[in-house]
Amino acid sequence: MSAALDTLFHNAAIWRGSERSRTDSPGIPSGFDAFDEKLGGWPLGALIELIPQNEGVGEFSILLPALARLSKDERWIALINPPYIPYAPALVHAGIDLAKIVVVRATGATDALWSMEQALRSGACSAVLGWPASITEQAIRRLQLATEASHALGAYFTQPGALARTSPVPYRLQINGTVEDIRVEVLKRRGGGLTSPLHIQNAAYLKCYGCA
Amino acid sequence: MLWLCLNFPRLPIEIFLRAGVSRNPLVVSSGGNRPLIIACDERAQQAGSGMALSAAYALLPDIVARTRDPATEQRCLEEIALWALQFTSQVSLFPPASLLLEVGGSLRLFGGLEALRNRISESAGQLGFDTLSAVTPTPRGAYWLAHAGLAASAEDHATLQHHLNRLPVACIDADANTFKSLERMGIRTIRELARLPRDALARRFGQRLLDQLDRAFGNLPDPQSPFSPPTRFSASLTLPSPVHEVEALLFAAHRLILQMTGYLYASNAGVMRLKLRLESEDTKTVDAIVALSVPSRDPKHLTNLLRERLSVTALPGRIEAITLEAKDIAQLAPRNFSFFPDAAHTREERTTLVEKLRARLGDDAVRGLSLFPDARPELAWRETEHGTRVQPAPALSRPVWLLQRPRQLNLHDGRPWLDGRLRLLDGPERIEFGWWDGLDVMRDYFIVRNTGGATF
Repeated sequence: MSAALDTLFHNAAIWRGSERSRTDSPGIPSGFDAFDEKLGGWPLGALIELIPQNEGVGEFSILLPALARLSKDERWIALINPPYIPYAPALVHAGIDLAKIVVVRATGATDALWSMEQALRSGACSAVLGWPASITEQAIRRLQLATEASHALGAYFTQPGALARTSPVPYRLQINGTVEDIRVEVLKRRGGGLTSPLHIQNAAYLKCYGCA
Repeated sequence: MLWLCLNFPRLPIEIFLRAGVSRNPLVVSSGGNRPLIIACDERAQQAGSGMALSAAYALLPDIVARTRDPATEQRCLEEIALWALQFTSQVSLFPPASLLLEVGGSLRLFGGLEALRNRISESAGQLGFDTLSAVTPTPRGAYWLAHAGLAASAEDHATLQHHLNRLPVACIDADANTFKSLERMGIRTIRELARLPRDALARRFGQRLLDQLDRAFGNLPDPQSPFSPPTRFSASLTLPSPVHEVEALLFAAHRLILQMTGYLYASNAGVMRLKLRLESEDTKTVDAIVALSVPSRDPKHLTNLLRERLSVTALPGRIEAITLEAKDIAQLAPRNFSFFPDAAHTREERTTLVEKLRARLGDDAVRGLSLFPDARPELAWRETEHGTRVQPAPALSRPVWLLQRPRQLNLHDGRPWLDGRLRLLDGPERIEFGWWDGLDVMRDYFIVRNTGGATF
């Protein structure tokens, strides 16, 4: 194949149906082998929707190793409208540099989504995680465009009810299981979904409590 | 020395149009018993300059006529001088409608004379003024050329002489009798005037006229008194008609911000706190305050911040006048330009982001996190200014979320319950602490899991 064509295929905007396992942009290692093998890490520059079946099944913990890696960067990690207080000692324990964490509290879903978009567009953040109270299809498209332009990890968390709706987001992951054995169902991704759920052994999580 | 004369031929009307376009065609009249029209806006073109106001009313019944306001013009000229300080440190007023800028020292910074002139006229346009500029080595030469409507630029004396010679005698500052005599003598241009014998000229018309010529041609020094900026910045605009749209307010506010830019350049500073006072028709006022974490004088950035702030400010009605004040200014750190995007660049982007978020969401909406050495979980962390470096501390294993307030669980059959029955995974971790500061705790911490797999 000619070199020109070859470089074209490495363009993030192009994916081929034949390469089912190829992800679009170089992702960052998630810290979990099973995840990296199947998805190539967390994608940068593509919006991710995370749908935990219940609150507290490890939907945030699954991101921690990647965030720890990203926090080595000069750029910030923005947490927008987190549901509870992000607990600083736990973040430090996960290896995250707290100086890079910015917590943004916006009142209302509109302001939260606006903040996410601004954070993504600013180029100042390596990761933007949002917990909007609600999200419209139009807002998702806006966020996706902002994420594409950003080369950042852009993700938002929704309620299990969101499963029923279709969504233009390129990555949709449903999270269930338990925090030390997280099951990730890839509902949607670039290059086709996965049929079987991923099992992520997060033994390190409980080991820190001395009971695993 | 190279002098740029900036003439504002439409200043009498522009002082009324600056804050936005009025609803009806606007003319400015001379006032007095038989008012004549001095200037008119685009929609009142039919009523030309010099027409009697009564005749203009007959032509255009819906025009609004304002009387010329020399005091406001003078004040406005001073405000423009403030704006002009961003191009050079030496600006002089030349009333009624001109500024003199010494630009010899600014050419290199702005990339040459042409680039500088373009930039000045473009920026003046954004400020709401039409300009006519001329550049010569002498201030009076530049003034004459600009007033004659000749947008010439002469960087050496030979070109200056060439341009000045073509000018009519009317551009010199003299009384009516002088002009009458000159006309009788058949002297129409500066060339003809300058050719007359010097001593005869001085005898007949006085030394002053001769001095003017000498200064224009650069044979006599012509010092200009520099304009000195005020120590505080505050500028107001009255809107042409009351508005309640944010964009219309921003249009006017942007012009004030541009003025402030000049002031900030002159004091080599950036603004830290910006106050926009909005005054409504029924004289209620409300202040929109923008606080910055790093001083800035970038008009685009400041306008953006103001837009966000205004979008969440409740207006007290339709706004009639706005006042912009630079509350706190601070010296700008010198900045180096780097070829590659680097840490400083990222820092700048982060600051821009934080200011933007704060402008809309409020100052407390953006926070950082840090640790605090305390064994009580709820006190072991602190909110800080974003980006604060954190002292390393012994790593403690803790869940990633903390509730704002502890929640009491329901009991089912004597066992705690949260979205299902809870199973004990680990614990207890006993914490007894703080008996000395009145917030003493004695608690056992458990790790539990419910039937849905959620861990607490």
